[in-house]
Amino acid sequence: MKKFLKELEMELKMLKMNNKDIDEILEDHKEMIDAAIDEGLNETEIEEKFGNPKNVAKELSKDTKESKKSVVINVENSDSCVKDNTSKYDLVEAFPVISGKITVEIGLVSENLSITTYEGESIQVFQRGVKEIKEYDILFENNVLLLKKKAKIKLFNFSSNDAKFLVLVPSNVELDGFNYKSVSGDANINGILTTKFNIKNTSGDIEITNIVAKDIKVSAVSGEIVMTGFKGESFEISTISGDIEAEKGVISGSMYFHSVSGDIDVEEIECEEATLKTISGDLEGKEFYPKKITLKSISGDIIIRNSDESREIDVINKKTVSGDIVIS
Amino acid sequence: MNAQFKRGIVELCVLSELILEDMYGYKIINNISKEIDVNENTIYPILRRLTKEEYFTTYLVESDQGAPRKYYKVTEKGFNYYMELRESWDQFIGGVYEILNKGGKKNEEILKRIGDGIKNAKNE
Repeated sequence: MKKFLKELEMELKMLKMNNKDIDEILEDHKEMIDAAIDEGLNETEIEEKFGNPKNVAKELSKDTKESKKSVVINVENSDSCVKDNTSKYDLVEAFPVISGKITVEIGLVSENLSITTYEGESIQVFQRGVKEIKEYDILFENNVLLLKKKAKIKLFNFSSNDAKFLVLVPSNVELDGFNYKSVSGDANINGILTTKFNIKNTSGDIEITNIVAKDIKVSAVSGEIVMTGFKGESFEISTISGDIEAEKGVISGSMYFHSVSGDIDVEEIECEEATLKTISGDLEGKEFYPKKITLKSISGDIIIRNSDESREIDVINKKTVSGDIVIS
Repeated sequence: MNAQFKRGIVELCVLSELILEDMYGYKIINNISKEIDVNENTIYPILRRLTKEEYFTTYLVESDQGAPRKYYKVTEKGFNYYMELRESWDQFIGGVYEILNKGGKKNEEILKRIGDGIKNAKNE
């Protein structure tokens, strides 16, 4: 079986894979072939099990190419994001916005999404790596922008899907609602001004920046959520096991955190009232200034470290088995 | 079989093997190739990719026979991913079964139609 390893090495080198990967792959194969020999397989049986090194090399190089394609979008500055990135995408649709408030409805499965406001006149939808654009509803009707994967049996959506959408919304347009739903896609959402802001996600990671909304609702099962810069009247965030980070926010009403085991980190946030309901997740706050605070937990804690001691935090309710509230 | 279709199914098989216990690479390949017609060429790249995507972690265990073996272990992310795939799969396979056999209720009728169909084709 030395031949297999030699051939595999050559194939991988020809595909210009980096040396570290090649070493790892060869090591894995050596170990697997040894294991097969230990179990008493003869040469022919091993050849059958291990097939053709060319095929493995081809499959492996596909994956490395796909991972290289992913581009991180810088959402801090939406203008630069647009300039840098639209060239890497293909324009699918552009919709002129006539007047009035619009609603954005996005429903995806594993596709990644970037949505941002920009200095432009029309709503623009771009894609990259989407195999069948027909599988999506992309419409703008009655002031509702719809970007949705058509209902379909999901078998073909196994991983290694690197389809991505980029949506640009004119920054002078006001939104009535922003609804985003996805199973495993990652999302970057930037600069949205809306009445209602709703995010629902199972396992994708979500980055949200510069959001102004009356009601903010974010929920995730296991994906991570990072929010930076938000303003609103009410804020509700829930997670099963994903971690949440929220930074630089002002909420005039109440903030409600619901977590089973995910941890929540908050920094530089002001609100009227904060509630944490959790089994074992902790809430850690730095420069976190709610006027009132409530904890309901089994073992989850609230730990707050603030520098401004003049701003007091009232603990109005604490129901917990072994959790605690520490404010210092 | 359509390559992407096959890859998806094998991915689910790899996850299913590891959900119950941690295993080393060859054992996973052996277990799966015993049941369905795939070999290392399909399975190993999936193992590697899922490890890179943090659905699995690995650790080394000394073996009696010689070199240590790399064991694969499902992470929390992997469990969640398995649940998603499993749900899609169950839905899909349930649907296919319903279409093929009408939920098992019409098996006889289907077989009779096949018999008639072959007879008619012969006569034509």
